[in-house]
Amino acid sequence: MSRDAHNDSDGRVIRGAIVILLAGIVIGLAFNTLLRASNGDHGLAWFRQEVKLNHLEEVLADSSAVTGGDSVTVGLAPEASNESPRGDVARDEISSLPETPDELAPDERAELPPPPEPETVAGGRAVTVESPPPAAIPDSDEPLLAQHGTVKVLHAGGGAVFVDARSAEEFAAGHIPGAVNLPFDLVYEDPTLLDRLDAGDKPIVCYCDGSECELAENLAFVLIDAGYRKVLVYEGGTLAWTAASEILTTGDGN
Amino acid sequence: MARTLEWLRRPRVLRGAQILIGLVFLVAALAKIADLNSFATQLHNYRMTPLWSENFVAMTLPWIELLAALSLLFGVRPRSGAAIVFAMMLVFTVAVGVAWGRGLDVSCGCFGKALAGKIGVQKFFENIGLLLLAGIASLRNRE
Repeated sequence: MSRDAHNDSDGRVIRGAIVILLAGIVIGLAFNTLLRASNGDHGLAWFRQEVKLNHLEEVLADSSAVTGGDSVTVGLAPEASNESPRGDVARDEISSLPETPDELAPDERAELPPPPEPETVAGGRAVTVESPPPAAIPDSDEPLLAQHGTVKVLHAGGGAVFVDARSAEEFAAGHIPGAVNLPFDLVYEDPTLLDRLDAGDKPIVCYCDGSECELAENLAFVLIDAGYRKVLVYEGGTLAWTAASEILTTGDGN
Repeated sequence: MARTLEWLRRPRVLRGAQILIGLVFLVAALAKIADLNSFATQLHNYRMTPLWSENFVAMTLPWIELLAALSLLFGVRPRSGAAIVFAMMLVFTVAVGVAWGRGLDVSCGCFGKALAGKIGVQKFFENIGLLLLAGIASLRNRE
């Protein structure tokens, strides 16, 4: 037994603790400096900064303004866009699409086509839903945020692969129809799980529950690292989905 | 209670507790040091420290853990190491409890990426156990 343990006064204990704290801080900073000097990928940045993702709608609007070509419109009802917390940029370029069957007159409801069809004829009034086709989603080396209107059109047109980044339990409790489950925590530990994803050239829409959840964003960065270039993060996730009266499917998806 | 405390302050019991908690912290520290980026991500997921400070905490905390663990294992100022470990366990337990209470679906980050366990009731009570062990290790030796 160390004699120190017998003789430690409180003052010595506190002084020793301060020495350990300071030494730990100095060694930690020095170690990180070495890591950054030897290989920038391993060291940490001195200050962490919030990653702000660009909105797909803004990117599309910008590219349209630059090229002067036809604007790419997405199906988002104006009232829905007003509810969107960050939907102020692309709002003017959005064409009208009833959000839910409940918003349509009965005769219109009867004429609703099955979801995969992007063209809708309602009550003799042609409502063209210009879904962003896969080619219209720009390649990007970082994930892009997508709002509900865009996500809904992509979902209805079957033009994207939906990936639920939450746990299997949460996925089973309720997920966007057609989505596959790739829990970020599992993928993070075993990136080979990404092999289960067969997205081809389709955009990938990652989502989670959208409240304080960052799983979708984290998974999106993993997908970017894996080489995918059309990766979207559904802003709002399942909360936005259900808030727009969309249904969730239960079960494990198999 | 007094008799229990007296028994816990026996040199062999104290030393055992110090070595045990020292080993736990040694493994935890090395796992974090081996992958600082993962630890920084896990720390971020708790959302309990200011964003600007997260990386600073991630790059220094594992080394403080390591030094505290070495002081416990080698018996050099072990009560100082135990005091640090106890304070850390207090913070970790509160963090895990709050994250659990908020329903955050995050990995613990307690042992880096290698032994990433999910936040939940089991992790919370594991932390309570380690907190008690750290408390014993920081007791003054029976003269």
